[in-house]
Amino acid sequence: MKVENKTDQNVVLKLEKVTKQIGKQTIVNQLSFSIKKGEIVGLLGPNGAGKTTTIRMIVGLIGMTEGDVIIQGSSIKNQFTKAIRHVGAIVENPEFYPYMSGLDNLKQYQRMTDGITDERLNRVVELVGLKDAMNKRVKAYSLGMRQRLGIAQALLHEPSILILDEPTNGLDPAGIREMRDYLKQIAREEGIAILVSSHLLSEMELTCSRVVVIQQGKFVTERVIGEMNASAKTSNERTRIMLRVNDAAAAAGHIRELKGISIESINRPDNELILMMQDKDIPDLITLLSANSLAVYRIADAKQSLEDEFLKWTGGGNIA
Amino acid sequence: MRSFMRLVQNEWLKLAKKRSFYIAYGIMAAVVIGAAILIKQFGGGELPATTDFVDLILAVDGLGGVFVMIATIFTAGIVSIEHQLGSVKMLLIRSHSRSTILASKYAAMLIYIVVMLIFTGVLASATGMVLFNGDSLPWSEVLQTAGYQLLYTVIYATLMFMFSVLTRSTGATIGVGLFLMMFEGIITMLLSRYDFAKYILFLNMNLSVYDSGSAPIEGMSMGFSSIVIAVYMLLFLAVSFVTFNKRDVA
Repeated sequence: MKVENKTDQNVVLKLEKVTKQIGKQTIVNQLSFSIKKGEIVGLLGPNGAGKTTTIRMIVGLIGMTEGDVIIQGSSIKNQFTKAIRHVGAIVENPEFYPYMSGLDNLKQYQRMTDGITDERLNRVVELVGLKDAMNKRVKAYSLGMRQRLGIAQALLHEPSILILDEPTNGLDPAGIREMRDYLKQIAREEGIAILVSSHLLSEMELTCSRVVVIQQGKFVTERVIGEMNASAKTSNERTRIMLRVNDAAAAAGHIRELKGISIESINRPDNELILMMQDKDIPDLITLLSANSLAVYRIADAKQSLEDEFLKWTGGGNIA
Repeated sequence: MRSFMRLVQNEWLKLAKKRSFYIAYGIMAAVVIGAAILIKQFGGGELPATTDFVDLILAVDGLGGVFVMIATIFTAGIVSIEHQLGSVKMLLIRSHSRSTILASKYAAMLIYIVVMLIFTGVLASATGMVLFNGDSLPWSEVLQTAGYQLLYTVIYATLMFMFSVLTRSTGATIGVGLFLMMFEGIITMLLSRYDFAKYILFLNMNLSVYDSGSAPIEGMSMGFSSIVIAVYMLLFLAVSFVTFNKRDVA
């Protein structure tokens, strides 16, 4: 399950033992991970885990006490202008000049990088769907519109990595879904890597291809999303199955006779059992139950959600 | 260089797109025209010549104090407003060093002051020509007055630029600036009996005093004051740039 070390040149962003100390407090501690082209990676952690601090160090807004961040081969510490060129980012909320129109704001960022054509600007505006609001002052924008404008400014200079800090903060369900679709579309069409920080677990599960979990500034684990559920189908690994019958206690008695199946839990009021078993044993299980005239109402994957995993990794508590 | 000019253009637009941009010009226009009308109405028989009037408006020890106040108040937020809006995060993650960004802000501020001074000078000349007549002072001396005023304003603006970087608060910057403008006279007066007073910036800022051949404190000269000014300016800019470069932007 562990992700293999990536040494190939597809690596866009690489953190090497990044550490941030403020006074005696260590906010981020020896954090290392990397992101490849086209990947959407979630930076996950409870509140105060150091997600925002990590992101600010990646984009050079704050200095690091130790370690380095390498973006497309350039160090953000020693070759800032060369490294930051490849980065588009929104750190916390996208903040604009409220008294200017959306277009005037984007033009500010257009002037800051050489070679951004008006066509590029229009294309990005169209991609985020803000065409009709471009001449309105940002003051009159809703939060969702400001998020979109934020994405537009981040994409303007064709970055190879997009870094978003809590991009769904304050968005309504429709906005969250829209944001997720954008991110996937951008990763696919523009082929860029995306790093998203969040504590919204279900959201990360749907958006990201991989998550990096940190807690108290330290690396906890790294998981490929979908792997923990999908891998069982192809291998002989045991998977968690939920079974609902008319009499859970009786069913449990019979199941114990079968080899290769273990009962994880029995929920008597609902007559549900959670089993660990291989897919190939399911027909035997059904045959056995019907032979003993037990009614089977449901057999389903008992997916362990990212939330469950997350609680396991971070030891519960402190989750926003 | 072209890319630096575009940064300056950005900074200029950030100042100019604000509605309050024109208020500064409105106030200066009101001061110039108001002063002219007051002099005309209540000045008795002795009306100043056109050049005298322009000189009065621009002189550091004439009505120039108003100009300094207006010019610095409207540029005081040039750095701090980015922190207050949070837009500094977007500004600093572009492919420019922090020094370049800060330099573009300083340049935009200088341009603002020069444009404002030209506006005030031209308006004062036009008003003077309509309401008064005759030249008693040569125009070259009026220009010199404008030059002293420009220097005086730029020194104040640089000092407030530093405060803007240090405090990240427009209000605090304007507060400190106004306090110094109001009390610089008293402070220097109280301290002027000590010998070290000649190294105080405020005593050296107005170079026009040397035109009459006198000096605020014995031993001071145009050259001496120029060096003191240069040292202070370098200090203010060094503090601004070092702070801005080192700062963790939260």
